[in-house]
Amino acid sequence: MKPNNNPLTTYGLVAGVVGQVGCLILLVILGTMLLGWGMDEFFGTRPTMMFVMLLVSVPISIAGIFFYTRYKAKQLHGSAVQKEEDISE
Amino acid sequence: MNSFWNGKRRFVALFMFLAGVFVALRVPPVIPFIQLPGENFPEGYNVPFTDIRITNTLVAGVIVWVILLLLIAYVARRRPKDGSTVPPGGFYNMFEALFEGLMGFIGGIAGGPHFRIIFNTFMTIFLVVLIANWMELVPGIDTVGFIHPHVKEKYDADTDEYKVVTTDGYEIYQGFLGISYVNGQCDWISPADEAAADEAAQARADAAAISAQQAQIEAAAYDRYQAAHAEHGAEEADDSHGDEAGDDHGSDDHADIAVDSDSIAAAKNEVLDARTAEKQARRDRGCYTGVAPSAWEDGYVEPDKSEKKLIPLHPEPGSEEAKQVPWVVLPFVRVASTDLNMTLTLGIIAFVMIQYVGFKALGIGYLTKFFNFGTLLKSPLGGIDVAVGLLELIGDFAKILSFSFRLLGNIFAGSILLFVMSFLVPILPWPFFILEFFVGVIQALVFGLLTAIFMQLATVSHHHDDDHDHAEAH
Repeated sequence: MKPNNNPLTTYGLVAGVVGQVGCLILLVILGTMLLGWGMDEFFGTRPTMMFVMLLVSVPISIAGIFFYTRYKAKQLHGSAVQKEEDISE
Repeated sequence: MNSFWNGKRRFVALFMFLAGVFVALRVPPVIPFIQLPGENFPEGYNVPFTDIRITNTLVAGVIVWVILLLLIAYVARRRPKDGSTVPPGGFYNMFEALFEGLMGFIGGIAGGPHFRIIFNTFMTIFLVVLIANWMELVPGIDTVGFIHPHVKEKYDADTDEYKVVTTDGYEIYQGFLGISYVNGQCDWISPADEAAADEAAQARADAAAISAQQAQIEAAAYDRYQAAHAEHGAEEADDSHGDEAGDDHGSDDHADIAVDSDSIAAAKNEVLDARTAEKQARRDRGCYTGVAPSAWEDGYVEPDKSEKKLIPLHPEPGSEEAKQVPWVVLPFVRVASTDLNMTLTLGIIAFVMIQYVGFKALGIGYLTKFFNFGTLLKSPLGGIDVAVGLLELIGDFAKILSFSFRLLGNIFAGSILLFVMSFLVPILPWPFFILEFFVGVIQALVFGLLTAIFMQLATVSHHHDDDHDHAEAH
């Protein structure tokens, strides 16, 4: 199999990952806020649940970024190792 | 770390915590005012030698650059002379560690002949964005400022001039997720106080009804007494009846007094109507108890946006005109990254640098990345390359938008989150400050890193694959 060692592809992947990381916090906060809002509407506890869910979003977003970055880094690293093996073969 | 919290620092932290609790319990909360564009300073605060009004985000931008220049001056001064073995220590060491770490990091991504320019751009953007982002954590920023009438200038086509009109009617209402626009003129009344005022009005109305009834009875008794007295006088003149008969007659009349229930109800309603009118007047001014009612709540009256009252831009405080003006706090300094002008400028700078380094590396051949007509004649599928090239062109311009909106969205949302949480629940929002601390770093890193990656990408020839294939073939 012909290895895909085009730097454009690799950098493009990295750029995509970085861009996604940049928006992850916003998405997590927005998601938890909407969830809290919905729960408040459902239980009539406004604004308690929204505040609680926003509080929950703090560790989720930080941990989310950490694990997402690690996962993607592993993927990229794995593909890089695979490429090296392909080249050596 | 443990020693950090020993001694006086513990008491300072405890004092700040207790002071926070005290302020939170004693001072009624204010509904935050949210505006996306940077707010203009009042008249007279222009950029020197121009007619351009200073904005509070511009002030923050200037502060960022001043801090950055001071940082550079400090680092340059503390930098050890070549050959010196004395470690500088302190903040310089931390900065050097950060600098070296990032240098290695970028070197791994964009090491090569263009490393220097890529790293310089990355580091500049990183530091500017980082300082700008972290400013939102500083107390007083976004919260201390001019007490400013919330009015705006509007063009009046009839008189062909600009008039200052209130923004009454639309600047205060409940927005998405309960975030309200504020009317700084309205003093905050808690729902409990509002209910107490309603009860007091009800009690006053009942008292008014009772006193009206009492007044009717007394008036009727007085009339009867007058009538009886007149009758009694006439009878005395006739010498035909005694006092007793007159008194009996009077007591019979007392029992038969018909109370006018309509007038009593009117007296009661007068008090209640006054209370309703008072509440309505508050609502007409855009003042609500706590947060403004939503459009879907009962009792919500859509504010009349068509009528604009002409008022001066800066009315004398305490005057009648000033009472018509909604007052808001216009912060002296607002985080620069919450202004699209700043993020867009950085996005354009990043875009220009990407193109610059592309041309520097590949010369005029860099343009074949966008206008790839060369393959059109070589291959029947060359048309695809042309289309891809044009997409690349669009994609490069789209980078400006993605850069600017990513940073703006994150930091603006973070700022709102911080102060909405601060107003919603006192003391507890500290986790959000930690979050925003991380968001500030991550966004700065993302902005800088993406610029570095795109710059490195621009230096890579688009025909790399072809070259590689040729090399393999040989």
